[in-house]
Amino acid sequence: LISKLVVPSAEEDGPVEQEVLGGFEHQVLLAVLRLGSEAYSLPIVLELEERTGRRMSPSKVYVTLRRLEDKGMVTSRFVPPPAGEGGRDRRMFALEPAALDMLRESKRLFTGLWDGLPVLDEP
Amino acid sequence: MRRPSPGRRPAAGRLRAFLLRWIPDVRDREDIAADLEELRARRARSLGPLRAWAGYGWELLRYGWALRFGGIGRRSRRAGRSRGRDARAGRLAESVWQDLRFALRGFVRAPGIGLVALPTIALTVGATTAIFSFLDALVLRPLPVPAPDRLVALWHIGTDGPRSYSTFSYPDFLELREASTQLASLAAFASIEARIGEGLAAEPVEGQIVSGDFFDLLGVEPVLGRGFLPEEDRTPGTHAVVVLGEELWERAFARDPGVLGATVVLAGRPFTVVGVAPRDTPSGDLEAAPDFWVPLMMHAIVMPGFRAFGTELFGNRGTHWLSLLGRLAPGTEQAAAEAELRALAAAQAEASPDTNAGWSIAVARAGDPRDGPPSSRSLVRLAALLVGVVGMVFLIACANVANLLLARASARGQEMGVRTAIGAGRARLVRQLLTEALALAALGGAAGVLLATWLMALLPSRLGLTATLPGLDVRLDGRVLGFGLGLSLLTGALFGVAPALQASAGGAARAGHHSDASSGADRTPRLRALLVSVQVALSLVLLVGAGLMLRTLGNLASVPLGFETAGVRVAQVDVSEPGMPWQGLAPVTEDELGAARLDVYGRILDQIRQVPGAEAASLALVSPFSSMRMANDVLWEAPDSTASLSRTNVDMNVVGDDWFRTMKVPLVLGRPFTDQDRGGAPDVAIVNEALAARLWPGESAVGKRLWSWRPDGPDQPLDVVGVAANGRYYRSWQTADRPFVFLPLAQNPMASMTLHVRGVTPAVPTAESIRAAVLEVAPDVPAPRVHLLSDARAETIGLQRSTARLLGLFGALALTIAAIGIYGVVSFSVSRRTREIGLRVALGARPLDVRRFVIVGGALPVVVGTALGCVIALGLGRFAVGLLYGVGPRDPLTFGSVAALLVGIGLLASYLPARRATRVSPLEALRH
Repeated sequence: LISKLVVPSAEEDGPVEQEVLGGFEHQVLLAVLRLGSEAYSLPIVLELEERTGRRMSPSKVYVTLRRLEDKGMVTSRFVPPPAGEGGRDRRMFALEPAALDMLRESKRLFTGLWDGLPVLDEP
Repeated sequence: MRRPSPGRRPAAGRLRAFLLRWIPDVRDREDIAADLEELRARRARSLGPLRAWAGYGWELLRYGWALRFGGIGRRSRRAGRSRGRDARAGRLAESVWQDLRFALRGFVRAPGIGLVALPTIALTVGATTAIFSFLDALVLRPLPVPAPDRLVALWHIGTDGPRSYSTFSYPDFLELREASTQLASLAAFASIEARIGEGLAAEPVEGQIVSGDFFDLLGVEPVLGRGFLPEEDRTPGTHAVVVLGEELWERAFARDPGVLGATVVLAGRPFTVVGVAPRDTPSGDLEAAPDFWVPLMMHAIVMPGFRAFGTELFGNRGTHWLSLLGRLAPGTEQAAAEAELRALAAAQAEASPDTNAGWSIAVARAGDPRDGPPSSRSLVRLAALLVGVVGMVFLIACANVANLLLARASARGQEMGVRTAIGAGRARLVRQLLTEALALAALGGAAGVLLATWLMALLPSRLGLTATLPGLDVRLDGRVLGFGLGLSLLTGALFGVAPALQASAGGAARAGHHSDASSGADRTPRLRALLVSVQVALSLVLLVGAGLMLRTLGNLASVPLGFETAGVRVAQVDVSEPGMPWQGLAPVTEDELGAARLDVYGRILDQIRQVPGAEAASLALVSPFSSMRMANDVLWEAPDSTASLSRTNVDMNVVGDDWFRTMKVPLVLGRPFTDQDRGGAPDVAIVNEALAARLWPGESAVGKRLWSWRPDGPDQPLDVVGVAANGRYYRSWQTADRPFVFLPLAQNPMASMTLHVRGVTPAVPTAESIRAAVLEVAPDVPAPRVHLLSDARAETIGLQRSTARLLGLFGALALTIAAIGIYGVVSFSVSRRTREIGLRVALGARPLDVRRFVIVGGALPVVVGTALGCVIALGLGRFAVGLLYGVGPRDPLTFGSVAALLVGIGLLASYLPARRATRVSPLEALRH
């Protein structure tokens, strides 16, 4: 997998925005893509838990979502509850074209890399 | 029985609301709260409610942290807030958080450092904080009254001869209160002991006898009722009112408000309770907080020992018995008040030269022992010494932890190199290493503060301070807590900086290399050797101090007292209480009263002598090592002046017939008091050698005459019938042999005497049998407290004992830490020099040579440290002079043995690694 490369920013000033997609960011983007119009905060967490079979830390997911937003990969807006249902405004996430490009690119990359390899057995 | 707390749900709700405020944006907050709540409900099924709640809080904190400091969510933030600073602060906070997590993971992965460093830090921070709390209680904390800085204590200063501190007479007090304009008010007080309750149940309590405006001057608000009224302090003996201390109110009356107006029996007389004063009412000194207060005018009842003075106590200018507290008038400073009071004292001296000549007045901040007489200043010195001692142990521990971290840092050269290679600046590396050190310090410090609370409860009694300073209120207040936490951070900075700078130097060049002995740029070994030297020097200072105190204790224990304490029990017997045979009879004359007292004393002594194991028994007004001291001027016929009598100040005691035999005080000349020395017979006295030598040098004192001095002229002459050996009867072992006059009880029948009983062995007669014998004869006297004279003696050197224990304890601690440090440095350097040693062996060095050069290398910093420590200890010696006895602060024996001990330990600590060095195989070492 693409592991996140930690590069300490050189000094206090001169922020170098790293346009590198981390492994977890990748997973979160896929979850948002899969949920489509249901991509609210909590369902994303639950979707990730279901798909990966691991317990997720919601704050980690939320922080990742907000970071992706800062990077221009997703947008978010508060959506009022559907008419007739009570409740709160919920933050809903949607993918930006840049994210779709990147996901497409990574799929191509991985498919290419896996091509022709035998299926790995569990150790 | 437990029932569900009604406030629980709201409390949990409040907590949740409080935590939620941590999320900066309101809409985010609601969204997140609902999400987390739903998740919590789901997880409670699988994880259990407790872990689910913990997870809820943790997630909330983490998300809030990221939003606040993590620099995320910027794009969605509406306002065009300046991004730069915010983001920078955010990135800084995030990287600190990263460092912190990294540090904690590191300590968990390699727990060795933490396991050694954490207890070291916890112990030192704990000990230092506990000691600081003493200093805080003793010196720093202001009195718990309104405007404590306006409160002053007055001292009478003797200007004849060496400066001495004394209290005031009642006429002095009245005049000063009347005349002073710089003081808004002036109150007087004296500490007294009395018994509260009746008969056998009577409980001895400590209280104060105070002037009417005492509580008003302090500004103390009573817990219940009121203080004293002016008219309650105007006429002697008319207003039997008492204010109880909160402690006594709780102990004896279970905080019953009905105590107001009730009658309590105090010193055998009924007193009406008018108020209860709070438990932190200042006692004016460090004695225990008073249990009660009564007006000055009641002194004849509550001070039976002084009853003989009668109302004279109020008229006599020569009797100093009152401590004075004043409040400065608005706009006045302490110096102005002192100037005025000095002038007033001078006027008093002029008006009454007989009593007031030679006395001036000093004004001190109230409640600050630094300003008081030498006895309280010595406490401050002790406290300062304590702080110095723990400060040294603190530095030693810091040096040790720094050494540990240095060792770790050298081992992490490669890691640092990699970090530099991928772009971390030096500042970034230093920050990370400092974060690690601070995390260690914070963890250790937190444990240390916990330890301190435990030590603060334990140490005062262990060090014998509770006996010396019963009123010392040691507690963890904000200042102490702040000190402890600040200290922890300081620790982290102290032991973190050097390793951080050291490790971060060198940079990327080291990335590919193992940090190794051959890299010449590494200054670590030299730094570590320096740290060892400092440790050794500080340990030496502590151990020399401990050694000097031990020698002092030994000297004190063997000081000849001039009498024997072993096997002597003493008990106060007060026959002035009601129930005596003469009570209720028609007014008796002074002589009849005296005869009645002597009769009771005689029967008590007869009864005591029947008790199995009692070898001898007698009575004395003042027992050795009690806080009481009786002194008076005596007149004598100086050989060179025939006209008038010369006058000198002597200490006095009134003793029974058998006292000299009971106490085993040798009479060097003449005879003891006998049955012949009764009222009506010529008055007699026994003097000690010191007085005999001063008044009649080279002559026999027996047959000479003395006169007790009284304001209205000399009293009856006293015939000197004997000379007793000198004795040290006081608490202060520093007093040289004072001139002393003993008077016979039979001619001076006092109302309150101390029974002295010498047993055949220290075990018999028991305290119980003595008490029973007294009560058999006089069932109505309050059951006397019986204690061993040897215990009272031990208490007198309590300060020295405490100091010695403390220095010994900390010295041993320091030595242990230093030994670990030496061992660590030497064994580390051996392992780094394996290749060099192998080379030497290959070139023909014998094991003995190898061992020698390793040991010499290891012992060198120890020798340097020892020399340095000797210099420091010699410099500090003058501060210890007041605590030492029979040994100088530069005692060569102590210095020599401590230095030898340290060098020996240094050699031993180097020997173990040196032995390992000789086993280095040259082949393996060169391949290394």
